[in-house]
Amino acid sequence: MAIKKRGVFFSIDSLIALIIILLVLIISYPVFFKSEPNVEVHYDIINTFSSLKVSEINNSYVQSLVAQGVINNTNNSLLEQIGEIYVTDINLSRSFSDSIFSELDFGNMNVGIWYGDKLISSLNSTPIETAERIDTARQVISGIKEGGSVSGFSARAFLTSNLRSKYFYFGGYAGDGNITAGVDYNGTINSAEIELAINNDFDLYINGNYAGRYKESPSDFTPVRYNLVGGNLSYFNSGANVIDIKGDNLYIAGGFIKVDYDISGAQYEHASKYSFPGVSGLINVYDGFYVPGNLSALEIYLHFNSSYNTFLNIGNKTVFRNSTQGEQSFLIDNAQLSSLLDYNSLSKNTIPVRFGMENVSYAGNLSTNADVISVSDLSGSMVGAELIAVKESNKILIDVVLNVSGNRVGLVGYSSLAYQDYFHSLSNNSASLKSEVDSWSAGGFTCICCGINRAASEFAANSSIYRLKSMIVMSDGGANKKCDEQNTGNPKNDAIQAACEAHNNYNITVHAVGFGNGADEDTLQQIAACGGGDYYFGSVSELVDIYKQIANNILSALYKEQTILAIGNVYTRLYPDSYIEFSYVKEPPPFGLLTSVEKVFNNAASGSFSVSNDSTIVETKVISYSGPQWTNNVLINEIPIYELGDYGSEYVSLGDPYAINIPNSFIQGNNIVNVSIGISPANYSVGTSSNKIIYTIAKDFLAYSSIASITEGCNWNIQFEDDSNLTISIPSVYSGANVCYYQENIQQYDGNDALQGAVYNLLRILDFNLNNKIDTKFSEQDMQIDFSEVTGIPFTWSTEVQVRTWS
Amino acid sequence: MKVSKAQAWGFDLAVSAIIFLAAAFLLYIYTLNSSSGTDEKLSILSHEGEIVSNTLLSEGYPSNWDESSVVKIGLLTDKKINETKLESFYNLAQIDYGKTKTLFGIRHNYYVNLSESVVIGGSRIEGIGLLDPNSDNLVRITRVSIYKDVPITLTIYLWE
Repeated sequence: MAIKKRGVFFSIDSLIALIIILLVLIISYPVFFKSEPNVEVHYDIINTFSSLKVSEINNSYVQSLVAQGVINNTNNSLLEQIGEIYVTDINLSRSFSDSIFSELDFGNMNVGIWYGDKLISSLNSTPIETAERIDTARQVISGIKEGGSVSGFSARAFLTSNLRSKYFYFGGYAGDGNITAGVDYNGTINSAEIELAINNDFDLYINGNYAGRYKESPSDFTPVRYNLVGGNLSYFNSGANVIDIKGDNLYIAGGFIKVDYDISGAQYEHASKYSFPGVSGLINVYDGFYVPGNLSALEIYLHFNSSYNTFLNIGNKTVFRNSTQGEQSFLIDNAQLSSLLDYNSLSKNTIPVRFGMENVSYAGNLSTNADVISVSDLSGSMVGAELIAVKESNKILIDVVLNVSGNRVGLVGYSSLAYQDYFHSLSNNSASLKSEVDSWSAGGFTCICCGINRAASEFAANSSIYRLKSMIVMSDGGANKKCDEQNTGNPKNDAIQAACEAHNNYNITVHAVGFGNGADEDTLQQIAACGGGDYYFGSVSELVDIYKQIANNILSALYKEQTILAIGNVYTRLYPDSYIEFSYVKEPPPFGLLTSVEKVFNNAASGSFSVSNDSTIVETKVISYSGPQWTNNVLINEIPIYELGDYGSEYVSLGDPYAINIPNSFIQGNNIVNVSIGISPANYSVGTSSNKIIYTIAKDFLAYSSIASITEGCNWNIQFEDDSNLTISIPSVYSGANVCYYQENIQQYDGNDALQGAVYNLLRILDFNLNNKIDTKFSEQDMQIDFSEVTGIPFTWSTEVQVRTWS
Repeated sequence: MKVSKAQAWGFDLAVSAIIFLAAAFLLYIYTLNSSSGTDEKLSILSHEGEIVSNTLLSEGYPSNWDESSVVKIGLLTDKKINETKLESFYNLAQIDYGKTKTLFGIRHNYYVNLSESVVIGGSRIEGIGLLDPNSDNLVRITRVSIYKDVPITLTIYLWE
């Protein structure tokens, strides 16, 4: 037993000693080997995997994936390739990564690679969850995201520069008779349009080929537009073309021919020649021309046939006056012209040009007549001989004015008020008017403003802007009754102000007549001055003659419009090869795609247009449908750039440009243009809502899509500024079911489609005022899409790659 | 009984003495290992290891150095291990190991081997430099680079 006890004791001691030895061994182990954590290896892995490309790696598994077509872009680095596969097949990316990691020997080190929060591959002996120390190297890879596309597409859309538009203007007035215009272009014609304010139906001939009969315009102030289609287009030739407009006593009160044609490589041409329209009938041309720079030389060639003295006025200077013996031509050289004209004043201005015949009668246009209201004093002072003279004078006025068909006369008799009993509305019924005059009797005070206000109301109610409006205010005394409308507190001032308002608000010319010793001449003169009319004074016996003179003057003003009334067998001819050629230093041609835009006026008085910052304005013209009247002035942004009155008050001797150029220096981003028309500096009104601004800009119309995941295309529905619509497939080969809209009420496209995105961005550029209507008209052929589809364009999203080592 | 008791005591004493001496020896060893002197040695080895690894994973100087022109031993060209430079390094170490230590600027011994087999002069080499597996102090540093278009690990040992 004792031995047994000793043996147990020995065994316990040995066991304790052995434990001590093991503990010491564990403690002393480092003396033999110590492995330091390597702080660089994770960076090495990032760098190595970023540097080595798929095409370079000598790894059988990777190359087999390339051979199978699983990997397409062998230019990817290993890091990028693992990322791309990770997006679509995470297990494949793990296999890819493992195949590379397995070749590495990290000893006892734990190494792993993560994409985002996903572990892709690791070589480790202990899990990272138990790590006491972790070192991490990071790198962000753009263009990949779990679940997203790894490559994208970009597309470019642009308009071709082959399409050009060219306008050929007829002038403010071209007549009277058959009219010929030249149309020159070089290229392949796509379309042709003709817009005219023309007085009669007409036949159209293109290079001698009959191209149809067309209706007259609604009025001299409202044009009609025709699209020359089908076979008519085939009559045009590249080069010079002759357009004949034939009919009965035709005149064109403004208009143009527009041709769109394809031409490659041509640059913008600065104008250097004005061509006269051809006229076969009575030569009667009112037009203008514009020199875009400093005029250095001028030459005029006239080719015509007229037994009448025929004259050419440039501005207010007559540079030619002669008749011909049959068909003749004249060349007026620069030496002659420079001695007659001030070239400085012709530079960068639109200059009126008038070519016509002397000693012919200018007749009132059928659509333009006079409305005259006689405002007569019937106060108590008019009793007796004065009243008799007034009645006789008014009857003379009625006879003279109504002698021209279409004219009308109205009557206002006033005393303390403008009584209805002494009023007759505008009428051409001579008997009725005279009966009204006969009913007049005198008595009461003198309320001149009452009479003027009553007449102005009648004009406002029953006249129009197209009629010449005149008022004759007569009195033998002074105003002594006030009007609430003016409310100046003084009867005389009320009368003067009433005249001013009539003229300013309704474009009424107010003449004043004083007679007898009691007439307040000062007030009447101020009435005439503010009313834009004349003042007359005489005795009772002279009153009839005064009224007759006023009536004739009104008719005279009426006659001074542009139309010649043909009498007898007068025949003249102006040939369309007549021209004015001017020289100046031309600016370099603008860079970019040229686009011409027609912008119709917002109303009769004004129009507006905008030029974006990234566009260069090349040319701007305001076209004015002034009918048989003259364009009186043009303002841009309230700055006058054309004043016909600067050349004189006798408009009948002055030209009338249909297209007035606005110098580029006046153009701002947003612009407002005002136009007035008239027959004299004192007799004018607002223009018409048919007026337009035609401007040309140079701009690179080019747009890119953002990076998108697909490239399909779309059937686009596009609305233009003139509310016309175009449906086109873009690209033209697209036959799918996608439908896109760029219209005022709907904007729809798929931003994930690179082609749709590029087209939308281009349309946005072409929508100058961003009202969801395209300002530049184009056809399917003009819209070009560059398929610059680029696979592998990284998306903007990104993923972080981490390589971690831990212990 | 007396004999038995004396024998038992003598045997226990002998065992206890052995255990005591062993513990004393191990304590001595432990004390030696845990001393600041040992830490300092390992730190120096680690520092030199970093120098060697960083130097090797550079282009060296001049960038196209060879055995005669070498100023700094670097193995990389375009971020990959250049086989010619690797061979030059091997030759240098074979001819004058001490010079390579001088070029590295280290005092202790080094040994470098690659996870990919390296063949120089028709023979497969195990590594470059000297290695004593029984060395008392040894530091191992692992780096990753590209050799023959394959990612490899480059293991550097510093020892004394």
